Amino acid sequence: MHQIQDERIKLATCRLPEGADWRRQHEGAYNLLNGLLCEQGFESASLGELSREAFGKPYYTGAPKLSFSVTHTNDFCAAAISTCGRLGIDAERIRGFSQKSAIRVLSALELSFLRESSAPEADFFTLWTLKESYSKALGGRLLDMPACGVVFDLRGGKIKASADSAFFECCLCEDIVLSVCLLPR
Amino acid sequence: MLNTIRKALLEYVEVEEESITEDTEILQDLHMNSYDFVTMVGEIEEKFGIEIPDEELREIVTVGDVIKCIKSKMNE
Repeated sequence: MHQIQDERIKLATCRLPEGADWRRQHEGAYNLLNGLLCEQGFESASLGELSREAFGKPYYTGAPKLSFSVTHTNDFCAAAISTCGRLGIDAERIRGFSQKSAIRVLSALELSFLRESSAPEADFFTLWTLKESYSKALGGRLLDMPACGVVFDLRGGKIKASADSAFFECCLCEDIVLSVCLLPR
Repeated sequence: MLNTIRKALLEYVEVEEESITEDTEILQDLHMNSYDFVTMVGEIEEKFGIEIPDEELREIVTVGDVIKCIKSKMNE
């Protein structure tokens, strides 16, 4: 279990047996979400139905102040909830990456940081998941990332973002990088 | 063209080749994640010598959309 320092966010993670297919990963993430909701005193009867905003972000009709996000990749699952703003989380396994994809989604500052990085794979997927978490918090489609326009500066080991009001945090879970974005109310 | 896109997709998702049709939704039906999708599009761009701008990338939902986009770029 990995902890997020910010008390406004409750996070749960787990590892599934190796080779778990998409359906099992998806179920794993929603099981974590249900556990968090139960732990925080949300009763399933009061949550209402699971619905989606215009651009796909899921929400419970009976709990408009509750924001949640789930992610899964390979055998890793995570879920997070908050009642303090809009939440987005994203995880990716650290591996070799496509330069063409980096050029498509990263800003000049981010590309320059990556060129000088001693751990470019980890830094690339940190940047990628940060952007995805922001996109998911906004409620847009995952592929709307370039339109989000947020630029990250990871120099000095700290996350600085051009989106001033947003809170970001990252953690490494073995070979997985997990990013969290909260857009406070 | 459909077979080429099928092969590209099968590098990233585990489904039966024949189950991929022009109506298949790439993110919704194949559960492809956005990094893999962007990377696959980059490979398609290189293979066909085309460039798909972000605004057009965001409009792609189905396999048929990818084929339509490639054909339109190759005719430009």
